Amino acid sequence: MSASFEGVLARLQRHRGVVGAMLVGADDGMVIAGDAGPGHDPETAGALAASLFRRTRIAAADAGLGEADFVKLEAERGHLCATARGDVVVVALASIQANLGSLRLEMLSAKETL
Amino acid sequence: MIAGAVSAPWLDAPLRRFVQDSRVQRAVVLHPDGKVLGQFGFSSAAEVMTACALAAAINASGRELGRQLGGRPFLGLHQGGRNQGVFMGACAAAGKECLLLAAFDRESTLGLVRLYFAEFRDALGGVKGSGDADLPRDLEADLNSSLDALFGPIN
Repeated sequence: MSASFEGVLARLQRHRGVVGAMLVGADDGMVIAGDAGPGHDPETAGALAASLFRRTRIAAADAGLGEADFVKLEAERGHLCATARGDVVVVALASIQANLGSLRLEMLSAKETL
Repeated sequence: MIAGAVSAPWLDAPLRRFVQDSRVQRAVVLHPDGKVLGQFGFSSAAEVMTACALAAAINASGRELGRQLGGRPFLGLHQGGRNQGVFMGACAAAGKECLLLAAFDRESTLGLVRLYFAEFRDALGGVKGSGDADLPRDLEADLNSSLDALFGPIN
């Protein structure tokens, strides 16, 4: 695995409240590296997260809002955050206790190293 | 809603759901010998016939290649282009092998297609044995009767 991929995943996995971190192909929705955390299928989470990110980007552009750089999904028991650089979507699954502001900054910073 | 038809009733709901969830443009389910069981998104019997013949040939080639390279047949295939992709996977219904061939554009991804194919495969796994899943006795006659059932007789 590429060192830059490992570095991004390590940074996200160290973040408090992050239960899973993955790099997913933006075009094919396939997991490049990482995992979705205990008890979660990474292929399922990766495919759905990449699809969500892509569709949100399209919706934002269609609504005249410009390019969506960061997507956050709030769910009952946690959060899904995604951002992208080129063809790679960076996905983090976080618990409800995670500091999302800090996680967002970490993800935006980490993706620049890809 | 994409128009389609099935010749086997047990296939209708799983295939319809697969097409809707995965957002593929076209999908066809067939026996490995080319007999069509159901389709969504195709506009003519000739298109289905061509797709089934090619899918059966690709499946046979892939299996043989898999056997020769690693001793085990390949069970899936993906070919991706800039704007379109094709996925083919094997599943079983009532103990008989089936193939699903799906074509998708940028509305979907390989990851999504694989994800919902797994659900489709699980749904078909619960189908009990019936005459619908029997192997055909005569390839050409069965293919024609399947296409007639889906599109009406070709004039």
